[in-house]
Amino acid sequence: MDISSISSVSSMGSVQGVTGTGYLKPAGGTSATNDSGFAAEFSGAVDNLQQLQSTSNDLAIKAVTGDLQDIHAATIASTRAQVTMELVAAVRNKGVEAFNDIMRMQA
Amino acid sequence: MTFDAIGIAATGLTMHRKWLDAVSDNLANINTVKPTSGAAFQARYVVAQEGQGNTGVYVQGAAYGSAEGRLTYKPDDPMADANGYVRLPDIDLASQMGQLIMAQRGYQANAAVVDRAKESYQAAIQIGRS
Amino acid sequence: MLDSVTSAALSSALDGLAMRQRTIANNIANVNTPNYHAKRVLFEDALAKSVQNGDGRVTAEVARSLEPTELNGNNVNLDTETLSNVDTVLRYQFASQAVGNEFSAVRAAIRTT
Repeated sequence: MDISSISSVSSMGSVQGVTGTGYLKPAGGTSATNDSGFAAEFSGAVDNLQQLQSTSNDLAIKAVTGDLQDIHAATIASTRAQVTMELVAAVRNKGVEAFNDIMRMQA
Repeated sequence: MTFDAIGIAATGLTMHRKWLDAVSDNLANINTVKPTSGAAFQARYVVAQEGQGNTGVYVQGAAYGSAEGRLTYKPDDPMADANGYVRLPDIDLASQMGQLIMAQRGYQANAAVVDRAKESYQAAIQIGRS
Repeated sequence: MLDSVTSAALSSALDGLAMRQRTIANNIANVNTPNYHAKRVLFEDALAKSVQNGDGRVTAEVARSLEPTELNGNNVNLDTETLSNVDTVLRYQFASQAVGNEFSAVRAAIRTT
């Protein structure tokens, strides 16, 4: 049987230009980092913490002078302030760690 | 003293226990017969006094009931005198039972004070932990 | 963290509450003493005023109860004293916890891991 050689595959049309599906957005080039992102967030969190601590102090004083109806308001405010303080400290620590990691990266 | 409230409650416990002792002694001897030549069995009362400053209470001394007692006619009793009379104590059962209840209530109240004081001191000891 | 007024106020409150507990113990020890008048400790109103003035420090004062007396001259009301004792203990526990929280907050800020 004579196996005819495979003719060139020109009978199939060449792959036409491909158009994108539009599902993925093109990756833009990295813009210069602006300082307002992390710092603004962090100082906002610290202000919030000040506010929570001030509220907690007021409620604690009300509780010991006998003006407070529900003691749970004071304990909740105190715990909220304390947990927020721990959260802010953790964010600070992670931020410092990330900064150090980046600084250590070789160019 | 470091744990003041407990010390004060302790004086309360002591005084009320002495009162309980006196009352139970009175009740045990409510039918004790004595000859007319001597005194009858005298009921014992505890005299309580407030301690100076904030030191609770202390027992100043004891007071005694009537020495005359009740003259009762009991000719068969070996201690009866020529006329057949003996002395029985002048102790009122109802009054002694009332005192027993008051002494017990006071004792329990002071014991509760010790518990409360312990809770407070434990809270103070916990300051600054963790 | 606690500012100085709150710190001083909590400290004064703890002093006052401790004195109140000693006074209650004294009243209950003397519940059956003839001619004994119950004592009370007052500091809450003075503390509220002091905080408004920005200070927070106050000394508790002791007053006589004016309740009517029993036959033997004693006017200790055992129910009032017992309830007051429970109330005082709970307040003391709250104030101790509030003072302790200040130290926990500082510790959280110091930790770097």
